[in-house]
Amino acid sequence: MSMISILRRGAAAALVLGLAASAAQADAADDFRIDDAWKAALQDTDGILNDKQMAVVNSIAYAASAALLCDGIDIDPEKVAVATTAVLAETPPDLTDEEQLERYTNIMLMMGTAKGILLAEGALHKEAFCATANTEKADAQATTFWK
Amino acid sequence: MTHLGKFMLAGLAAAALALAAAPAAQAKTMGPTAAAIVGGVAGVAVGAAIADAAKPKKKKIVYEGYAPPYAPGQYDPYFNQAYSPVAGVVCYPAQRACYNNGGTVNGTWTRRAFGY
Repeated sequence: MSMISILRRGAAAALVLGLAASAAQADAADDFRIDDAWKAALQDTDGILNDKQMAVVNSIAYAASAALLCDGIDIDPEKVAVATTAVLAETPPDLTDEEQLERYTNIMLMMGTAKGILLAEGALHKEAFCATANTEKADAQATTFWK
Repeated sequence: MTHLGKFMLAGLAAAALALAAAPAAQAKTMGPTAAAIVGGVAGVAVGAAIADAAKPKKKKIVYEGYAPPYAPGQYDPYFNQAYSPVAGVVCYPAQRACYNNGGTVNGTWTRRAFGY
């Protein structure tokens, strides 16, 4: 076997091993997130909410999804009401009524969309999804939107 | 905030509650008249918002001080950003959410990473 052939075979083997390792790493590290759904949902909404507000909306949507999918988990309406009102009430200054309604509507759509995607993620992996939710619910240090 | 603004805020907060809570709670928090009024006002806005989502918006209402974290047409690299605050957890800044590796949403780290 010529030196060039040896190098070609070595390179091919390394490539195969590298691809296999990458695939294994991706499999091991990947989560349940439905990436394309989130990208489609989020790409035109950046800036409507700040980081904290958007995390609150996601957390309410997550709590609502878990309450629908998992036994023994129930939404706490008071916590949801307080958090949602805070997000809605923190408006940019000088909005007209029409602009306020547009902002509120977009936030409600964002919450509903997030709940829908999280329901799909949870339903596709229900056992693990509910196990995680129950672990968080049992954690006295965790702040949740559940009873 | 104007009276209409307060009315919308109250109505949509109730709608949010209905979105998150069970149907029984929904019935207790919003009567049929209020629901019909809010539905009528919000219905027009929902239609407009859904239609706008399919095409570039004339003006997006953003929070005070917002600076777009990506250049026009460059959303994908921003969306694909991720970091791991601790082993076994990955956070996605564009989504403002964290997940367990090989798993589901991590509510505790979502709160820690994004400040509430």
